[in-house]
Amino acid sequence: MEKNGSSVNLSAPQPEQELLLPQVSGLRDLWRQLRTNSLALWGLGLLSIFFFIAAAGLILTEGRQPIMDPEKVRLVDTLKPPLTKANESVLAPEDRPLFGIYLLGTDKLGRDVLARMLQGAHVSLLVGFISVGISVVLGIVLGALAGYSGYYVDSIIMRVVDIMLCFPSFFLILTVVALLPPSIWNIMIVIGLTSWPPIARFVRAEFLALKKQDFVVAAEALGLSKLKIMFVHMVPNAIAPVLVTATIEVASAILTESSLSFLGFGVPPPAASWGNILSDGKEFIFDAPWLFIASGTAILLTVLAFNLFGEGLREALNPRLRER
Amino acid sequence: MSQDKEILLEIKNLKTYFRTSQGEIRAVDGINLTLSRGETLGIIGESGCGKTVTSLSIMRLIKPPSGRIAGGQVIFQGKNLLDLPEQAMQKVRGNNIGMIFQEPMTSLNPVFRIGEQIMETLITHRMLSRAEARERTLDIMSKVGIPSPQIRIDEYPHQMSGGMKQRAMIGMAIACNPQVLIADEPTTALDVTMQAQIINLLYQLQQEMGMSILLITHDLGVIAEMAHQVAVMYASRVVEQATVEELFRQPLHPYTIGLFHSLPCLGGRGRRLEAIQGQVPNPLNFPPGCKFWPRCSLADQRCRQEEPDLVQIDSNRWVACWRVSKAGGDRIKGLPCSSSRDDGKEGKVIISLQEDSQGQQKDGQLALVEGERLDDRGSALIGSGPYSPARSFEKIIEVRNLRKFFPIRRGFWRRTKAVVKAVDGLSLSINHGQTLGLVGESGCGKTTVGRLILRLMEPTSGDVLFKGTSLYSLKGEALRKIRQKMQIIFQDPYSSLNPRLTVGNIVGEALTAHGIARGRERRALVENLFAKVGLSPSYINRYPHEFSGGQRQRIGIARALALSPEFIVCDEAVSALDVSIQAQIINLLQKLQEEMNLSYLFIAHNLAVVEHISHKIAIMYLGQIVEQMPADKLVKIAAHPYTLALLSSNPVTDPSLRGRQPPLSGDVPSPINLPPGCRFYPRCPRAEKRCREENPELLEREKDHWVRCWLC
Repeated sequence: MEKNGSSVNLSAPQPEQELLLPQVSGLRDLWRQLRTNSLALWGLGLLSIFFFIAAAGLILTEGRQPIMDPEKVRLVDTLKPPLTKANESVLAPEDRPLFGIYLLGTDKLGRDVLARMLQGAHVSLLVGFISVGISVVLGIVLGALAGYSGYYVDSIIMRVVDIMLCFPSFFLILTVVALLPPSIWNIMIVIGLTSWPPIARFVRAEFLALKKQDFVVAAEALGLSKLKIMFVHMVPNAIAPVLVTATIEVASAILTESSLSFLGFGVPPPAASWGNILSDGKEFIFDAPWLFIASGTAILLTVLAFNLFGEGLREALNPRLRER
Repeated sequence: MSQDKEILLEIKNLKTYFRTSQGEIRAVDGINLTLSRGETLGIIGESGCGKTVTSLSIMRLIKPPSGRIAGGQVIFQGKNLLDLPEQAMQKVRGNNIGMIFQEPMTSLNPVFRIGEQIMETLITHRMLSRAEARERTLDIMSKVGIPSPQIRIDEYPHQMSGGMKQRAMIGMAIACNPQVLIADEPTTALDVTMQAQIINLLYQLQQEMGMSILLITHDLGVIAEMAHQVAVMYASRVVEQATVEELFRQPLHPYTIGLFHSLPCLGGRGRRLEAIQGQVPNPLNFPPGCKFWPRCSLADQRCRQEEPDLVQIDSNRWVACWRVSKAGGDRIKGLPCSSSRDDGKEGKVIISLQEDSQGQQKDGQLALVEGERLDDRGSALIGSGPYSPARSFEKIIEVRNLRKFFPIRRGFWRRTKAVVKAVDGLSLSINHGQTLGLVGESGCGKTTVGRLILRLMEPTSGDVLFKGTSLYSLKGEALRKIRQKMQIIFQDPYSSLNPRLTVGNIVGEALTAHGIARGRERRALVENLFAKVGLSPSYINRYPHEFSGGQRQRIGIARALALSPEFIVCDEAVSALDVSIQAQIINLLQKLQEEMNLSYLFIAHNLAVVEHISHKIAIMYLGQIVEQMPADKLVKIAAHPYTLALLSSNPVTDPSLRGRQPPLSGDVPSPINLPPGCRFYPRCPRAEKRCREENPELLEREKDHWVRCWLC
């Protein structure tokens, strides 16, 4: 289909005889750009590892009889350092950790820190993706409406954005979380509902520029509906900067969730998240440093990975670096 | 080249390569050029042929790591510039060699005052104090024709018009009296009237200061007006080099001949343009042998295998072609656009072309090894023979007293402070199967008229009738129905296609949206449309960025044709294209008009193109039509001073006519706060007292010839 341009025989005028260069798909092109950026590749590699860990954590720690139980309290084995063997003389076989070793030690209630970290991994990633998902959808829809519609809709939406940006969003989240029943889903929704304004601004700015492009005028002249013009023609062209921001926002959502959990407003106990492991660890900074080292490093690396990858994506998607 | 002239700049075997992810691009591949003192060397060629890279290589402005100068020498004043240390090179740039760029909007820094930017070069290279530099800058500004330099020196670039910015740019380049001035497409972004002014300015500066100019352009007219020596570049190499008189008397390389034949010329109506087929090859994908053979009708086995070298065939000419021999004979007769000729038979070409075009194709012979005819291209041309329009007088579009005012709102309450009268009381009509050409400088409201006719904008008052139905009374479904019959083709082939959709979807989308066809049926229709505009249907799954400018323009045309419209607005549809591609697209539009009985509103600023394609021409100035007439009478009966000015600003492809005074000075004034009288009077050479007080009406001077002027 792609390469036999010259073999097509037509009675109508001379078809273009030159063969185009071999087709390069958009994704492969993106990968080619990304591949040259070693930092972005590191980010991507780290992210893949975290996704794997989170998926593994979901399988290992969920269910009635989990392979690794993050909530099992073992009062004989409190605050054990990493790589300690479990106290086999006291613990029943079903209470022992996997392989009988606390790979990352235990906390003040004798819970296996590795199991808790694994459970926290998928909580953190879930919070990151769902809350950013909400804010991206909201941001794109509102930004697109503001950018494409006339003066009044635009003014109303942008004033709402201004008002949202006036609040220190972390305190807004704290207030809302304090009033709502504690649940991980509420946290995701609240983070999502407070972080869309920057994305809406981005999309609006892109739309204002796109609206003047000839292909949008052409779509209007063809009699396409406004919704189709907005979401089929314009959004895909405005998505690149949003994607980049979203990647970086995932990192900040993970941080926000950790901070909330650290302050005790986050994921309700006994469920674990990296933030509340860190919070628990603060009482034992000198006695049990593995608690904050494990959770702190995990948060640091994830946020770093998302940021590096986001930056790499920004460069790879930058149209100025790509040939037309 | 003439031996008695002092050679100032010599380029020997220059090679500049760029590394890309898809392989190495040889942007300049072994070229030799010499520039003599006080002369102008023109480099002509289409985009992608390596002209700009050549100039950047001379200045050593090729950016590593992707680009590198792979070999050769640039000898200036006995030194090889390519061997100089970077600091010494900085002393050459701006001081010995000045440079002017194409885009005056982006080549001036918007955060500095104009004066500062000119002074900067003087302070750097001439070690002047600020006061001295300012003094010199004022001199320079008046030298390059910037009015009231005392005020202008402290203005920012955004306060100046495009032409003024280009003058300031020239001022920067000549501030240190350079021996060489590199002008890279200095007039391409400007209107014809401004182009004539800038050409004249460069010409005068050269006379005064004795500079050598390296002029890079794609416009044969600009070459004819300015150059002494001409080098024709094609696909990274020089394919022909000659003195300007020789080249315009008889171009020899098939590519050069093709360029001349692609050019529509004033008074040359009725001739099909003889476009060069195909396009400049992608530098990643150069054909083996002579790089021109895929587009050349004379190519034989040898051309496909071996690349010809540039060889001298007589004292003033070098050609790189296997088929052009030293043995002269009668070479080519009658270039389509020149007005002077050495044999008397063809002396009156401009007028006689209409009758002559058949015959001319027969005599057009080249001094070729085996005497074939270049014009004998058979099916390679999209239709041949004179262009004959369909005759019909039924009106498809009628515009009645259309007005579009844009309010300028200021302040917190956004009160209307002023009104831009973009279109002010415009009436016109377009007949079935015919083309109305709308011409004017940029800022005259041409595009607004096009958009208003398609109801892509709401007018302030007035009406547009499509086959007798008022467009502005329609709503919803009825409007959608009528929109199918009216389409638009855009200027910029890059921004007019959505980069995220495949070209098949771009063309076929409207078919689905209007419920005309889906699935396999739609695919068949789209393939058919592709064939109709001369594209291979196998490309429908590709994305726009994979296509060249000309191919994209064809896709845009296919999109416009998808709903089988009856009327198409071509908004500068060929202005952004190279001449050879422009000729292909013009021929395509004419062929489609004949086949489908289309009507066009052809908006453009190039009078020669408009005259070539239109049946009727309307000249627009500041929102009003100033003159309207049948296209074939344009040259004979044009009467309005503005039309005459546009006609004589159009560069003539005849070197013997150079050095004319530009007919118009200044820019199109802003359409805010217009003068009370005739809108043209501030620039009109013949303005009288009455012109200043009253705006004339558009009156029928003779049949079908309408003029808005007190003096005509």
